[in-house]
Amino acid sequence: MTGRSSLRRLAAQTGCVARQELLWLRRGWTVPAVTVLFALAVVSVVRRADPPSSGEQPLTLLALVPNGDPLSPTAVVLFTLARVLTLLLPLVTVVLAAGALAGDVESGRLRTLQTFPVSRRAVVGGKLLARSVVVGSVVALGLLAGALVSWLRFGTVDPVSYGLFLLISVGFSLSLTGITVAVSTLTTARSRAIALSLGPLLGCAFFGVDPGVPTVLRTGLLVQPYQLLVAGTHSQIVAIPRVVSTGFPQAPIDGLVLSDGISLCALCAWPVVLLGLSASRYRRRDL
Amino acid sequence: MTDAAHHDTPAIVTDGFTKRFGSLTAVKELNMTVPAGSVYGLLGPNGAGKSTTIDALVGLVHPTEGAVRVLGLDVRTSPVEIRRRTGILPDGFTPYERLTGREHLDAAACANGVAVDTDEALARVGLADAADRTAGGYSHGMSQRLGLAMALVGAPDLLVLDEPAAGLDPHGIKLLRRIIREEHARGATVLLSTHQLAQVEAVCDTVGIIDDGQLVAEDSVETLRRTVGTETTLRIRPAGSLDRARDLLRDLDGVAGVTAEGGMLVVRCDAEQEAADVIAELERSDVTLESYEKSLPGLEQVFEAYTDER
Repeated sequence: MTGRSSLRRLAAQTGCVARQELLWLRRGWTVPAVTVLFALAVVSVVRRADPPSSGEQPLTLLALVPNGDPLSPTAVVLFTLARVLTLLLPLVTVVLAAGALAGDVESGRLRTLQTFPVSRRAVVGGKLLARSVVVGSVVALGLLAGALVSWLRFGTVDPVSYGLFLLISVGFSLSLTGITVAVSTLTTARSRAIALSLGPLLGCAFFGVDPGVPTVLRTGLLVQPYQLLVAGTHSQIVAIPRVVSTGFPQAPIDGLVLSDGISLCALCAWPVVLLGLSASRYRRRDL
Repeated sequence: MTDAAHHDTPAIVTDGFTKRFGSLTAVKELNMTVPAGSVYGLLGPNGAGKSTTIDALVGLVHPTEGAVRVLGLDVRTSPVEIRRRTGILPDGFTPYERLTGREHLDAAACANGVAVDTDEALARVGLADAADRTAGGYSHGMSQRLGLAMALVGAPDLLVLDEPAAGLDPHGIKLLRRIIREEHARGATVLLSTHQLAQVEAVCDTVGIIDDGQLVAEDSVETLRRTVGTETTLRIRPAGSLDRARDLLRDLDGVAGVTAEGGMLVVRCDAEQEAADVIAELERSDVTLESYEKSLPGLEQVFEAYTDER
């Protein structure tokens, strides 16, 4: 009973913080500006999306396989977007989420917020919730714009494949949001939060597709799990590590590491662990 | 609400409260008791530890050692419940500049789980006309008024005001005093930290003086006045000759000095009682008094005595 009522109280407090945060974000210029820029970037990528020339294998974890049929325009668009988004989504997320707590600490607003009867867990949770809603909406809107342009350009879009891709990309961006909010909770200045989250996330974007990095390690770099999940959205997209793993069965752990389940866990594990650590540290911090 | 005022549990008790920031000890073994239903003034020079103490009371900073209990609750285990029953205006209150005054009150009401008439609450602090303006356009004084309005949401049992008069104009200061008196009359306990000694003298019934992180005095204003010396000054305007009055005064017991100042005599007496005796003696003599006024040692002198001696 007590546990349930304290959970209800925590949910109510989190809701209050999230509502205030959303109101704050809605009044600024950052969210509309990032929405427009991200949508333009996606539209631009979709307009230029072409299958790689024969024999060309760009540095990526994904490959297009015609399977005897002509390449589907949706597969080409998803293949192209999935590679670009590994760079674009960290940028979007960091711009929208790095100031969650660090910005408020810097300005002094966090002290104002913490004079309310809300727990510190509720503050972190409310900020995370609000920033996740914003990042998720921006990413979804941008990708919907991409779907529209794809339909205008090719006259067709596979709604199931594109819908799954959109969900996975939003999920990936929420994972990045969790990590960024965790970093923001640990720091006391927005610029530091941006540097400390953008650096590692961009590092992941580069090393996560490096064939020189062992497959098991790449699982923790977030890009591989994202692209493995993307590979499942269309029959003409395959994940290269899975193909390689099948060709070299002497590394049985790869089969497990490359499963969709582990990919999902990897995307969730980083934000959950980091948010747990940062919330615990924030509870002990003097404001 | 305000049940704290109706029982014997003190509103605030600190027992050996110590706060260290690295090698700096901001507050050292502070033992302070704020009775329920009182208006308690916390005085001290800059860096004395007042704001750290107040921050610890509401869970913004954590005690390094010792215990802090507010409204009978331990601040380590029940900070949210303490803040639910406490209205807080922190030092350097910073509003959300993109939110309106009304939205600030809505946020405070949402967090407190209460409904609030925002028009009435903002009118109470003189912000009725600025209710729908974003706080980024508020002056410092207006922001303070907004912070005060937010602190009053939910009729708290305890009101903690850290430098509430900062940035307020004379009207604002008058309003602040009125609100403190109204809240006190409602039964709330008020803890007021300020540099403005006149503010403390006007509204507080108990004063604590903190210096170098330690409580150096805690009592009523009157008692503190008596403890630092009771020299009282009389400013007398005789109807007749100034010289005659001065000669008479110089011979009286308890008079430490007499000086003439623009048609008036300034008489320094050793004690308040002796000042009364001086007036009585003059009235019995052939010197007629046109007017006189008595000034007791101010809180300023009390403050200086306690914070300079150390």
